[in-house]
Amino acid sequence: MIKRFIRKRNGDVYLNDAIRYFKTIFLVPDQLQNPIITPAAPVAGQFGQSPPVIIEAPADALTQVSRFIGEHVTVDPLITQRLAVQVYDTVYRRNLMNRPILVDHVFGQRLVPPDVIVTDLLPFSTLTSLFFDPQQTLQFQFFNGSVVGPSSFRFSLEGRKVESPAWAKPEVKDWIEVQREKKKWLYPFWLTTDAPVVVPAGGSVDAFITVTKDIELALYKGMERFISTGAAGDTLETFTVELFDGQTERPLQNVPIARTSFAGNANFAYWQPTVWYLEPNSLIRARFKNLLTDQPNAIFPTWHGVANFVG
Amino acid sequence: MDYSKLISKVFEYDRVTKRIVTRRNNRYVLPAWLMFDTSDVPTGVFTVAAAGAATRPVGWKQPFTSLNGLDAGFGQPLEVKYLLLSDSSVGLSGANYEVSLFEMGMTRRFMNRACHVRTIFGDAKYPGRLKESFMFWSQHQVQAQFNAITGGARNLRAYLAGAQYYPWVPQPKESRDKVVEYLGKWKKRQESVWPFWLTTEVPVTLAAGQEASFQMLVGQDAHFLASSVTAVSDGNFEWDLLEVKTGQQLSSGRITFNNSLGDARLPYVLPVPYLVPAGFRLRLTVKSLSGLATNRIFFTIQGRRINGPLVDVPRILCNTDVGEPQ
Repeated sequence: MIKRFIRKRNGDVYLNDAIRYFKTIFLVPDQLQNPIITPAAPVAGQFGQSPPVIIEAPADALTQVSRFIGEHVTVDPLITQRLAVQVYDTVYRRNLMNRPILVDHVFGQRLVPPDVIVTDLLPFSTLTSLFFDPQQTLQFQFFNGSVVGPSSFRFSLEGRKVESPAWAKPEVKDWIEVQREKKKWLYPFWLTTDAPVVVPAGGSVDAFITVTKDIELALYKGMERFISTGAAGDTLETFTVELFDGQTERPLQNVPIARTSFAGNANFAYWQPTVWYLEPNSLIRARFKNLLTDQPNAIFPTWHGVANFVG
Repeated sequence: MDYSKLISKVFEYDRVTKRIVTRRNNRYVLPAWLMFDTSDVPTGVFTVAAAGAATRPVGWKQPFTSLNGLDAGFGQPLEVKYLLLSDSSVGLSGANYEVSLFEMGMTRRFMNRACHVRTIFGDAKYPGRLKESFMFWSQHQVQAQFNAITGGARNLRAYLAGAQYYPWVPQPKESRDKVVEYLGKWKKRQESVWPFWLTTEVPVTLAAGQEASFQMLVGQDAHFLASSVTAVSDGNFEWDLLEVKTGQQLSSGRITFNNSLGDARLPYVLPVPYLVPAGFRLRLTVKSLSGLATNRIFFTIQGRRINGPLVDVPRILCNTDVGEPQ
């Protein structure tokens, strides 16, 4: 964050010159790829894959991205609910998630009542920004888990840029140096279960979440989605979850947590009351119980936070 | 949004070594949810009796764990930051019961009278955030008395969510010392400061177009520092609030409910905290703007109680500030 004003010791307040050099920027895919069409999955349990979508930072500016906004062009919820994305930083060859994450847990959207009181745009704010030198790229690949039909999706990344004439200014130079160093270590990160979770009617399954050896994580936001056609049992909560911390194996609850008290969505995520720090090579166990008694329940939990690439 | 301050509590960039320094150790603190005492409500689902029938009290109990006495007498305390609730039939939005909360170990009431659950509890998307966190010590118990306002028996789940501390973890010792020191500060703070909700002394029920005034009494035992205002009602109403002794008013005229108040999920946060000295009372004047034959209004002010001489309130708040855990 660049301070808008600087307060001197004698109490005088000055406009911070640095803010004059920063401008808002939206990064979008190549127009030929927009909207992104992802073919339907050939069979249930598999994914249709989009071609890689490359977002390139401008050649004449340094760019810092911190908000993800997306829009489903397809309206059928049977398709949109199962669209996932994998984001990959091509510069340092790092994945920003452990496996494809639902797009609705990565991109915020324009919301309409009754989710909000008035129509409003709620982008997904990443916990830490992504910094790009000129022409550095970020790769997105979409995965359609629905067999019903192809998916069509548009998205943009919002942030700010500082153009080349300003790079030598002392206020900006210092900022650039810190951002370049931070990029070597810190990335926004999305974490989900190692494998898709489908819980049989009235049953329970154990799922595992692995933190790889090369990262340590600080998780802040919790999100969930369930997909089921079940109509019997607890149709409001639909599932409960029990979490057991990696490394320490301590439970995070005394009884299973019901869905609406466990997590939110990309627009209104559940902010953990304290950061959940996970060491490299941790294994979290999550036990999901389906409260629907007539149909299986596909559950998609996601946590978002910051990864420190230590490896 | 800029989360850099938040992140720097965990990962801090060291300009000298040009490395990230990790400042957090998860062995001492984890996010946690606490549900009702499992020996009393094993499934976590509690049944509130139908309106008019008596519901038995229920409680949350904080367990005790330790290792070789390294917990410094703290066991495994939970710093409660959110209140979360779900009605199994209608979610939080349809929950329609009152609740009063009482801390057994310190014999402290958290409210002057039962408050509507939706003026206190939230859900995961919008938690009911405590303006003053509550440190729930091991082996202590918080008792809740739920009473349905309308309708039949209901099943509910209610969670206290927050940060769970494990001060007995042996290594690294420096981190343990910091956590023990932090918990010690909490012991001191809770002698003087605790979360509190203030509501009307009697239930507010108005006929269409009716206007009436209701008292909200701040007891003699401690001052009340108000932080936010919430309300739940059957229909729209307008309100104003007056501090009786000094004649101080919060508004130049009546404000409509729709223009001013939310429930615990999105409360109206006072731009400046409002201190009401011990023994003072607030007078809430409400007028129903609804055509409903009965408009029930549940008006709650959230804040903290502060025990001590009035002139020392800023000093108490400042001197007992617990800061950051690590």
